[in-house]
This record gives sequence, C-alpha cells and structure tokens, in this order.
Amino acid sequence: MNFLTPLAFLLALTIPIIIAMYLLKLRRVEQTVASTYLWQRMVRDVEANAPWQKLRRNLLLLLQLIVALLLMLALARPFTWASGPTGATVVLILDHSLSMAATDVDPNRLATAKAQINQWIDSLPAATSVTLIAAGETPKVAVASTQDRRLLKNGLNDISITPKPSNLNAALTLASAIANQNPDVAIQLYSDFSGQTDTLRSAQNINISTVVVGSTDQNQAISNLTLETQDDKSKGFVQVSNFSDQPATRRVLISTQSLDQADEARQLINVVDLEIAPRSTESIVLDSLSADVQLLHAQFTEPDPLALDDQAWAIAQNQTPTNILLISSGNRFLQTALALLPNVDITTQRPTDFESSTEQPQYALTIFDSYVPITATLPSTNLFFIGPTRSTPFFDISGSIEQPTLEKTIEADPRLSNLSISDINVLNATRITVPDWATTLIHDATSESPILFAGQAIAQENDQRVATLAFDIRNSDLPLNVAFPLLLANMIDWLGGGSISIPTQVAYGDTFSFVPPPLVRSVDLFGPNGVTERLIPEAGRVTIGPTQSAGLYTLSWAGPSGDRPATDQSADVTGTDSTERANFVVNAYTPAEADIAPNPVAAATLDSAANPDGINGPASASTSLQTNSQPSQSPREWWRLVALAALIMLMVEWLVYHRGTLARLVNSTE
Amino acid sequence: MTKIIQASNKLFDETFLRKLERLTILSRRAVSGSQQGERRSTKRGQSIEFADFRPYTPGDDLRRIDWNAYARMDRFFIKLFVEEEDLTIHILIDSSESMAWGEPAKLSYAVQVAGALAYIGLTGLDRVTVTALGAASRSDGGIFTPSRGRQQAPKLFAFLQTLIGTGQVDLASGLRTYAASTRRTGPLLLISDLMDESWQAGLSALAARGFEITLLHTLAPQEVDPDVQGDLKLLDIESGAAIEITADYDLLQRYRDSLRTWQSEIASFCSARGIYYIPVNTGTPFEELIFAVLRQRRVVL
Repeated sequence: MNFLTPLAFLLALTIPIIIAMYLLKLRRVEQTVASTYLWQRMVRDVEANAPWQKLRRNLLLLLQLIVALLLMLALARPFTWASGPTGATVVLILDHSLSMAATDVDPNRLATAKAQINQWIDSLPAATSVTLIAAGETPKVAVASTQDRRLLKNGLNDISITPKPSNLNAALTLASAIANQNPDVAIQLYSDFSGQTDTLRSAQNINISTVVVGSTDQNQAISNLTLETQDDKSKGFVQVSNFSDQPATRRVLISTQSLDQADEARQLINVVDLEIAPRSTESIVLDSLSADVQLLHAQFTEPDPLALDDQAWAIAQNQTPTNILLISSGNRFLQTALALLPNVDITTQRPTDFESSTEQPQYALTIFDSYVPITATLPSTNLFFIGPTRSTPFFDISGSIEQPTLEKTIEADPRLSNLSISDINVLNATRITVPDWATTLIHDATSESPILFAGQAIAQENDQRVATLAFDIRNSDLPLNVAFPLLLANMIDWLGGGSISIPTQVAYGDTFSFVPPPLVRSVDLFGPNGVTERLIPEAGRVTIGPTQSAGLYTLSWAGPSGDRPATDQSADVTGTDSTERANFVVNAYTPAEADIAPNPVAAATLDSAANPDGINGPASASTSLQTNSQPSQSPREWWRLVALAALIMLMVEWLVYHRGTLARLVNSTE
Repeated sequence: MTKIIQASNKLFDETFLRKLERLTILSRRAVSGSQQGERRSTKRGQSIEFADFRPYTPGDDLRRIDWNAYARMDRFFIKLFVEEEDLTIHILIDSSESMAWGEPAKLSYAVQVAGALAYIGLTGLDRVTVTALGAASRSDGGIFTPSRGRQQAPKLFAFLQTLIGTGQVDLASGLRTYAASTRRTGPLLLISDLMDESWQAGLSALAARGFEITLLHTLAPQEVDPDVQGDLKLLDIESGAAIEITADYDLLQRYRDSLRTWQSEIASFCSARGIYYIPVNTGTPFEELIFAVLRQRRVVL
C-alpha cells in the first residue's frame, strides 16, 4: 500500500485532540434530583477518578476515533499497483469488427474485451482522462476525453459488433492525433488482430500496449452461394472455405424455399459432407435444380465460433439488360459513357440506317443524338432527344439560344441527383417550347427556355417517357465534366423504363439505394427477423441499410396499375397489379473477418514499431492465442472505499448517539 | 358526619371517603389492645366467641363456671371467651426533602395514602397514630397521637396537610427511636422512598419490635424512568451532593437495571423479616393504589 498524499497523516494529530476533549471537564447542566443515592449506586464502578478509566467502554469515542482515522487514510489517497496502462491520458481502442463476435472466448471476444476494459476503468486513477475509440470500418470516437467513468462505461456498452472489417491503422492514426495533443499519453488497443495483413503503424515514442483477444482460428464459412436460372433449369453453386490451419469436416445442408414462404417451409434438397484442407476451399455444384427454385439456402449443421457466416442465401439472377438503341452519326463521348453504364445493352445505328430500316426490333429506349427522323416514324418506346435538330410530334423548336446559362429548376429530382451544372458551358442550344406533359429540369437562366425537360407523354397511345436535352453535347464542355456520366446515368435510369436496379446480393453492413417507380410514396422493407421498416423516398431514391442481419429481405411498394416499367430488369421484381415486390439477400461472410485467427504477431509488430528503442517495450505483445493482457502497472486508488467506510462509521456513530431517542420512538410506535 | 369531615379537609372528597368507609385494615395476627374494640385480642375476655377452659381459682367470677363440666368431672372449670379489643395502626411518613420531589411529589402522594389508611383505621374503631419522620422540630413533634373514632378524622387531616418535606432523615435512628418508644405494636405502614443508606437498620429495628410492617416504597415516575439526556451535574436535593453523568442510552439502561436490582434487594430483605414490600410509583392513580393494589396485596379489605 502506497500513499499519494502522505502529508495527510498529519491529521493524526486530531486523535489526541478528540481524546483530550473527552478527558476535559465538560460544562455540565445542573439538575436537581430527589437523591443521588441511586445514581451513585449505578455509577460507582463507572465514574472512577482515573481519567483513562473514563474512556473505557466509551463506544462513541471509539467510533469517532475510527472515523477520524478513516478520513485521514482517505485523504492520504492510498493506492496499490494494478496492471493497466500508465499516463495522464489514455486512449483506448476497441476493435468491434465482425470477427470480434467469435464465441471462442465466453461469451464472445467483444464482450470479453469490454469486461477487461470495465475492470481496468475501475482501477484507473481518478485524474486519468480516457478517450474511447471504436475501431470499425472508419474509426469513431465513442467517448471523448473524459474522467467520468460512468460516461465511459456507457460509451463502452454502446459499442456493438459492426458487420464490416475494422481499419486498425485508421484508428491508430486517430489515436496518435489525440496523443499528440497531450504530453503523457498511453494507447491501449483491444483487438483480435485477425486478418490483419497490413503492417500496423503508429507514431513513434507513444506508449502503446496491445491486448489480443481470442483463442482459436477454427472457422469455416459458406464463402459463396449463387443460384442461376438458365432456360428451363437452375444451377446452384456452394463454396465452403476453411480459415483454420487444421483440416475440417463440415456437413452442409442445402435447401430451397419459395420467396413468399417462411424459413420453416424450406425443403432440404441435399446434404453434403466436406473434408476441407487447411486454408482452402471446397465447392458443391448443383446443376439439376428445377427452374422454379427461387431461393437457395446453405447451412452447416454444427456451428463454429463465428456462427454468422455458417449459412448463406442466394436468389436467382434474373436480370435482363436494358436494350438501348443509340442513333448517332458518331459521338465517342456518348458511346463511351453509355457503354460504362451497368446492365445496359447498347445498339448503335447511323441515322441513314435507321431511316432505311423497315422493321425495328423492340428497344426499351431510343436515343437520338443530334438527329430527328425525317421519314421514319418515331418508335413507340421511351425516347431521349439530345440536341434535336427539328420539331417532333412531342415538341416544337422555335429557334436557338446562344451561350445559355444552365440553371436547375427543380433541385430535388432523382433525374438531377448529385448533379452539379454550374461549371457547364454551352455554345448554343435549341429553343424549344415546353409541352404540357413535360417538366423542365434545367433551363437557361436568362431566357428561361428549357434546356432539359422530361415527362410521361400521356397524350400518346403508347404512354412513352420522353426526355430532351436541348443542345448537342459536342457544342459544350459537358462531356468533359463529371456531371455528364451522372446526368446520363440518371436519365437512363428513368428512361430505361424506370428500371429498378436492386442487387440480388448485398454485403453485410452495406448500404445501397435505388430509384423506385414514380408516384411511389413509400417502400416497405421486410427483414429476415420479421422486422418491418417503412422507407420514404428522399430525392426520388430509397436508401436501404446498413444491413444489420443476414438473410432474405423483401421490398414491397404499392404501384398503380399500368405504371409497371416497360422492361423489368430488377433483381427479382414480382407482384400483383397493386403491389410490387423485390428481393435481395444479405450474407454475413466477409473474407477478412472470416479469418478469425488472432494475430499476436501483428500486435507485436505494432509494439516494436511504436517503441523501437525498447524503452517502453512490447509489454503486452501477446504470443499466446489466449486472451492476454500484460500491460504496464498503474496505480489503483482506494480512497473512495475508505471514504465510504468513514461515512458508514459516521452514520453508526450518529445512531449510537441517538439510540435512546430511537428506542423511545420505537417503543412509542409499538 | 362524613360531610363534617369533608368540610375540614382538602385531601379527599365525600364520595371517596364513603368508599373508604367500606374498607378495613387487615391485621394478620391478633394483638392486645387497650380498649375494647372489634379486633381479636391475645387476651381472653367477654365476647361470645369461646376460646378455652381453665381450672377455677379462687377469686374468679362465679358466673363463668361451666356447670356442665362440673357435673361431668366434679371439678370447677372457668369458661374463657375471646376478648375483642382495639388495634393501634402505626403510620410512618418519611418527610425528608427528597420526598417533596417528583411530579406528582412523593410526599403529597404519601400524605394521601396515609390519610386514606388512617381514615379507614379510625372508622374501623382502631387507634391510629401517624408519625412524620424528620418533623420532630414541629410543635406537635410531627406526631399525630393515637386516636380512635371517626371524629378524630378532621384533626388527622389537618395534621397531614401541614406536613412539608424538609431536611434529611436518618431512617435508622428515626425508626429505631420509634420502635423503642412505642408501647403497643400493631400494623405499621411505612411510606418512604428509602433514599438513605441506613434503611436496612431502621427496618430491622421495627421488625424486631414485632410490628406488622407494610413498606410502601414510594418513587416518582422521574426516578423510575429518568427523562434526562446529555452531560449533567445531578444535585442531591437533600445533601446538595453532586454527581456528574453523561446520560446516554447505555447509562440510562444501566440506571434502570440498577433500580431493579435495588428494589429486588429491598424485597428480599423485607421478605426475610416478614415485612410486606409494596413498590409504589406516584404516577399510579391514587384510587387505583388504594382500591386495587393495596386490596390485592391484602393491606386493606
């Protein structure tokens, strides 16, 4: 036991003072009694002349002396040395990546690390400020520098497993930045360091200690699961990976399920026992599945420490690309930009070929680049006019505008999302009268003549979507601007039939967004655990995620009859006339996190890098796979407990002093 | 008569006196008196209750010869009858200053008890004498001389009402003197707080003289359960002696224990000498003492 302020022991002088006060003659209140005969009989043995006997059996004095001693001890701030980082400021980094969910230590790695940190927080000197960083994909300061232990513990408890791999280097950089602001800093990093291939870096001469959590590398995962439908049959592919240094034997249950069925309705179609060599993969090919299989599910029979990646889901790839016909006399910018768009199939025709062809195949969208058919009729599909040269049945051209200044008329329109047009210069544009069915998206700020307009040409029989860009892109610097591919992507998204591009597989913890059909007010998301969420489109897009559970998700929205897209190229869009549905699956497998082997070597590297001269030494660099913490010694103060004991003794003293009154009160109530 | 008595005393009301008249002081043994009364005497006399025979000696009243016995045995026998005589009831009140202390004051309580018992005695045709211990300096010597009959009641009450607690009383010498100076023994009621170390000697002297002693050990409620707290200097009202105490829970508990021990000491002392010991708390209503406690303890009936 050591003391931070041993000067407080001078307060021991109060003890003789207290005793002296007991010995001193009190100024007593005089009271007449019938006779002192009885009192004398009673105090004969108590009231002795010797002063020390006066003190004998005086409980109050004893209690007061104990209180004084305890207060003195508390003020002396006793402490013992406990394991933990030293320093006036401590930066704690806690890895909360997916691998920290491994249950090889009970209950799991994250909870074990939290328990250790909690224990360590209790032993901290009161003056130590602690910053807590949650090391996820991007490091986050969970609790800024504080001495409030309760706040710290609350912040610690709020940290939960993130589905993404953690970036320890980013966390260390953040911690080092905090460390640079303080003179006496220690950094403590709690992680399993699994899958840590990058060399961990940290500023030199900062006291870093690492605690490696985790004890095993035993993890196998369903690393790939796909379901493809071709012609009249489906094909499934299952890949199982062993991340351990030991060979593993796993039994895989493969089952199918209809999209609208509950998990219990799964039909087991195959059971495969796999022998997987260390750090290798095994595959299962299912090539004779019926075409109506909508959902494939694979799962291990026995869970391993990381259970999240022990099962996977797949739904059929059912996408057909959007067919686009580009009629252009040659526009490299446009062709390149269109070719880069995902899930589109571009067919390019020269205007002369278009005029001469008698029968056009059906396209979802036809783009006229600086050309309007003269003899040929306009296709009944969706149309996009870029720099129209003359009037069409959809709009009339009334002249031209020199160097128009582009300005958005509607800010929150999905067709203009993420688009910045302020830097775009246009040499000249066609002056067009906006038809009733169209909405002007961009206009010339001076003449207010439309530059980009789009709409549903409801007057036409075919209910076409038509958009028009009033200038030839070659007469502008638009193709050189970042706005060009964005504008093109947005317009194709809309004109491509309002196609709903929802991926079939979404990575665990990922966020994605899609453009729902026009007029859709809300989209319901049904999660795998029966969780339902109503999503409201913002700026025409619905954002989903980050996905927190693995499994099958269903999106559902009310679509007005007849508003179905011309070509349905979504992930898997089904539905009745009034309700449309789309599905996607989320699988927890992440290559970096599936390798749960604790990596003490990475921790040791960090320690030696941070302390090259070995002054502080890699005190806690663990070479064991067990949860290991051997940080340096820090003082653990006990004054709170001592002060609490003093308080309790003070209360006891009060009770003893007033016990006569209390006894009377008790008797009177009885 | 009761009304006349009532007019001259402030101790009791008329109703209470009527109630007292129904009581009588019990004497547990026969004693010899000086006048004829209603108590069995140790002497043989002229009542109708037969007691014994004895041979005739010349000079005996011929009327008492049992002729039937003479006829059977041819010898003269005198028939003896129980003599009924009066009884002298001794009432002793400790009138020291300590008796004037308490709420209600022990002395005023003692005066009431003495008055009530004396009145019972007077109305029962017994001789009653009341002596205030420690009041010898009074003109009457602190003694209500043996008197008999209800008509003595006003005088008795007047005597009692003039008693005041003053000075110190040496119980040993006071009681010894009383025992020595009294000609006739009989029931003796001693009302005292016994706050004097010599109480044992005094009681022994009385018991040795042959009194039928009932000790009413009178204590005030403040003595039985003192309501004091803190650091105090207690002053003896009689001697002025001081004692310093710190009245806390422990001390008061010890005081109560000590009081109980003392009372049981007195009780066993009295029991050994045939003295009836009755502890009295002046907090007890007076009527309850007379009609319940003393009745129950068979001091009165």
